[in-house]
Amino acid sequence: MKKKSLLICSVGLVIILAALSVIGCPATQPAGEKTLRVGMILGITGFFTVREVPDMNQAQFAADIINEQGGISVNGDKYKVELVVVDTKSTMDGVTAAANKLVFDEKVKFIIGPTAFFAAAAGSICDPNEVLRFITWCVNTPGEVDASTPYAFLGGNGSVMTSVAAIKYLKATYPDVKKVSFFSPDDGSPAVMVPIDTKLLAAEGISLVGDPVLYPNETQEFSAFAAKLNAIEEADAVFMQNGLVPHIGATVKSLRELGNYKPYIGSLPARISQIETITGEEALKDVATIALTPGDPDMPPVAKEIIDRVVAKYGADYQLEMTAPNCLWIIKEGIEAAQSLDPTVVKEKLESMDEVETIWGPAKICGEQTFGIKHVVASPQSVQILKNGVETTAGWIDLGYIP
Amino acid sequence: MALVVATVTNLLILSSMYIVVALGFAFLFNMLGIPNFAHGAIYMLGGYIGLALISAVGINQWVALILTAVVVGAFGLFLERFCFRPFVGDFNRIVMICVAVIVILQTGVNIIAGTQILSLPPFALGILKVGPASVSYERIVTFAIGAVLLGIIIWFVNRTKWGKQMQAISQDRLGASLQGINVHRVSALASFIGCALAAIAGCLIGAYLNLGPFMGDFMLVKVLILAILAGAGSISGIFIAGLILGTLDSALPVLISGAAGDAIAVGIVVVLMLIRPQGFFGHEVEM
Repeated sequence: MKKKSLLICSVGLVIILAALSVIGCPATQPAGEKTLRVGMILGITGFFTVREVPDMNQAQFAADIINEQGGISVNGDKYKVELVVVDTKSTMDGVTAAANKLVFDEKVKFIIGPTAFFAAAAGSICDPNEVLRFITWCVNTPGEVDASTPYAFLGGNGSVMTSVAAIKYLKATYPDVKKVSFFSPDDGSPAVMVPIDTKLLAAEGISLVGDPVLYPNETQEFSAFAAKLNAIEEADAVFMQNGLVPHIGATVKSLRELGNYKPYIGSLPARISQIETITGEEALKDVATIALTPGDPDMPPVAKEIIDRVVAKYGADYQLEMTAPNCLWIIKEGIEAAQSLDPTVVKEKLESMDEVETIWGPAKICGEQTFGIKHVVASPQSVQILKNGVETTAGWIDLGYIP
Repeated sequence: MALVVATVTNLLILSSMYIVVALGFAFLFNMLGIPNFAHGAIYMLGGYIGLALISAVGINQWVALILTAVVVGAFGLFLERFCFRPFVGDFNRIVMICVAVIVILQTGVNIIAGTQILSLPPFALGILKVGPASVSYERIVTFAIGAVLLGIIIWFVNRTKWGKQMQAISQDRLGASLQGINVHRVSALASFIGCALAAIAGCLIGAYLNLGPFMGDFMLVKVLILAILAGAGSISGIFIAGLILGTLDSALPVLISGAAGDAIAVGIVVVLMLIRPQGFFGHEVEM
């Protein structure tokens, strides 16, 4: 009886797996239509879902727009874009497995992602195999985008870019602020970012005071860290580098609870409306982040088109990462500029260019000194604040050329 | 001075938060010896159900808090009957079942609401200022509910027939059964209470902080530390253990920068366990 049950279960399992594998097979390509398969390494499950699923959906809209425009032009041929997404489960092991799958099983030549500190785990697979990678975010830990990653570009966004924008905004909006405290997740990035931020702040006549206040990435309750920030009395403002919406939300809430209403500048991509969900409206006075606002009249056309589609499908409160779509756009521009699908040729072409078209308009290709490699696409940044209870763009910051 | 006052305030509030979250786990673990590792996921589920009742159904949030406790408590009955009862005394299988429950709940919530930043509306508004101390009423409410729940549970365990039966099961399951205690019924009640407490904690913390599919993972670690420090069979030990953990988590970030604080806190807990392996007030248990 037991053997019979086991046999039935095994046969059932085989049938289910076979059915799933058939469902999972890519659709047959229509005759005469050429396709460029672009891999995506993203955390579709796990703790990075909140960032990566929206980014994946937004990249699909960018792919749709490219395909509606006829596709990517290479030597008279048009290539439709097909995104091949592999889930990292928001783990380093998952990143390695995803990179292996895309490089060796799917045999893609262009990859979007992974993001930030996850990126290094894909480098050891993609770089030796000459697969061109466009990471979606960079917090400047070793192996993300630097001299050791010849096939990785920073196509999305990164700490250095948001810092430049946040500091320029801070200087322009709060000219009396001369000293700031520093707050950041303890994820390996402060060792790199504190010296960079110190330099960027000094260029605007602002100095860091007190010891950097660092928190573990898993922290949920921030009152102890808020108390520590509040104790740095000589600081005129808090400068936060990196982190997630819950981090900035809980910290601002705790600081306001302590009666600290100093300006709080977040050099991180967090929508004010989402922070408001945690803090309430009143706490967000003098809080600014680097984020995109649906309906912003100054939004560049391609970005606007993607955001309009996002809002139509997912609603106005949806997280707007928009880094993966930018990576895809740069891949398209790079391939068309090189007129080749060879990743090495595209890489060399991008390295030779000073500017590339992005969904934000023209952006500089730069980063030799700061990153050790000219593989950084510095796109304009939008600063967001809460104005009259509504999230509003406080201005677009042109980053210029990042050395 | 302001930093000292803020740290002491944080210590009390954080301790009460941990106690609220840990109470449900400790109840099941200390009373019945069932290590419900899915407690964090159930705590998360409670927060989301509370939010759904408030925002989607439009129920008053205090009523929603009670309803959530009942709904999640009922889920606790299901867990006890179909997940825990068949495997009582089998640690490996209990762990496997809990892992399955965690994955199912987290993945389910992640698919439905994982991309959104959500939070329950605050249970109280405003900030109380007393001298240099400043604390939101929201956190005071959490503190008060934690204290009241702890008091009720201690009273329940020590003063009621059900509580005494639970203590008997905690000390000797077979012996309690031979004395005529309906072990299954008592276990079901304990599971109901444990899960209901997790749900209340999920709603309170989900209002003060925010909701996320993985919010329970972080808390589970704290809860495990707390329950083990308190010791098997001890509910009142939760109070002392909560204070110790709250003190470590409030003071260490102020004294030590970054992630090292967490590691040191856990290191101190390990030392405490070496000194007193049975916890502060508990007795040794066999899994």
